[in-house]
Amino acid sequence: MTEPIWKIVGKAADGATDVVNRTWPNGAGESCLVTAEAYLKWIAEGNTPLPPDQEG
Amino acid sequence: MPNFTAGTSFTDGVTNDVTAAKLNALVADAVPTSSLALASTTGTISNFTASTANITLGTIPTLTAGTTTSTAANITNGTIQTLTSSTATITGGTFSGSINSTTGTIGNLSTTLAGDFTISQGTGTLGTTGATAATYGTTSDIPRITVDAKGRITAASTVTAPVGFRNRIINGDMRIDQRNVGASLTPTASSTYTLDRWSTYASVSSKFSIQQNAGSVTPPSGYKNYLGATSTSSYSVASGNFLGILQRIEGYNVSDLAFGSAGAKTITLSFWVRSSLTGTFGGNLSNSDATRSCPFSYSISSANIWEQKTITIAGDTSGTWLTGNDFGLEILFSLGMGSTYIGGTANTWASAWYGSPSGCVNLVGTNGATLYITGVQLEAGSTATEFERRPYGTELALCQRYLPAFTAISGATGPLPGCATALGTNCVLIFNHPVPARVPGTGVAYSANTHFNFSNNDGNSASTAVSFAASSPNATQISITVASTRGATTTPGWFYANTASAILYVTGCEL
Repeated sequence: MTEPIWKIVGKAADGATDVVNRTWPNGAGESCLVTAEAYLKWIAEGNTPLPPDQEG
Repeated sequence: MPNFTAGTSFTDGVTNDVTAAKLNALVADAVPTSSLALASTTGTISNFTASTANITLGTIPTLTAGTTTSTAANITNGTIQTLTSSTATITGGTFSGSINSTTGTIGNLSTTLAGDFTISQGTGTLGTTGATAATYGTTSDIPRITVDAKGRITAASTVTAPVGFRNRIINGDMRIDQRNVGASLTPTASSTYTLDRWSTYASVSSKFSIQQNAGSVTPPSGYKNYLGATSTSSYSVASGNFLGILQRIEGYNVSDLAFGSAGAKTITLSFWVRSSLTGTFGGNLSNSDATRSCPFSYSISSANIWEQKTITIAGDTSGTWLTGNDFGLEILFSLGMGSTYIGGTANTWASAWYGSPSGCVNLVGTNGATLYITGVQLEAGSTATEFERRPYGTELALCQRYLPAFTAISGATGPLPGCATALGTNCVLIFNHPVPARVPGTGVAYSANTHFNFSNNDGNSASTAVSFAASSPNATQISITVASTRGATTTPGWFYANTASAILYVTGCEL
């Protein structure tokens, strides 16, 4: 099963670190800091996250 | 009664001619040509002085004080009825009769008795049993003895005292599966977490699946669960591949093993294993930066039969071993190892990462092949002790240090612990971890965002998005967007799981 694409969803409570989310085909989801190991591995594989939704 | 003089002898037919008499000074050459039969029990024979005086088939009724025999005076087949004095002695002779009194003394027996206890010349000797003379047991080891039917200790050794928390492996009996709740998963990448505390190496994607109680076979006696790995194809392992099941042990929990120092302790790994394949299987122990490893192997002789394995390894006196809340020691069961990572000598530490010794089975090479494991215990010492049974709540708490998780209790819906507020459709939940986590989380994972509702006095609304916000070892904050507004001002409320399959857990605390 191909890993879903992470998407930047906003800032963490510290107001500084980005948070990314992804949802698996079965509905399960994950949300983590961009410093999380799973996300960093995914980035290291050459992937790029989806940008955050445009506000307004 | 005439005096018997030298050359006088009894002849046949004159027995019983001497009654109630006393024979004194039976000298060497005054030897009956036949036996001397004593018909009366009232007679007394004393002071045997001759070296060749023999009394056979007779009875010495009372051996009184001062009565002795010479070294060559033999009493055979006779009976000494009463030893009446502690000074009545038989010395140097041969006695094959019985002693009827317990008040007598036998000294300097010349006969060596056969058996486990021998007496020779008055010295008793216990036979050896094979046990080595030593002191067994210390403050940390207890003696283990083997006793035969005669009550003798025939073997003695020591084993590590079975104190609590000797097993460095958490969830070694595979009871706890917070993430997957018994569902199968197929690792698509390394560090895919399976049953609690158990992770995988999967340098190549989707070559095996992991599931608690896969195949639904009967676990070994005393166990309810096992971790099952199933090969999903007949994969030819490439040189750079490494696939396996592993657990990383926190440094705090292995620091006493003193790895990396001269005092490194010997450790013993034990586990139950069952495979559809037979042969030699491999694995390893390693440190956090993969600069030290100890490959090991174990043999499975019968397919689809549970076998218990024990591997004892001397502690590593070299390398860097972390002793804090980082990854202190890793144990790996190989499912497939490429040539790059095969090598070393079994049970010997190497300055490289060898996932297994040479000649081991690659499970992923056979489609449908299975490897089931449970009862994994890693302990100090050279002896595998009985698997440590910890209370379920204790084991769960140990797991929660690495995976703070919240699931619908007993399959029912219910509230999530913590405090929650809402402003419009934006809600915040801060929930306390069941136990302090190893480190702050870096994210959350959940069964589905629609599995959770925010509820307050205005009603409730289903979640449409869940996002991680912040974490400490003690609590995690998440933001949840709900479908309908929960108030124009910040309003307290609560979150609850709206389905029995709801799961929410904190990520980033695992090793």
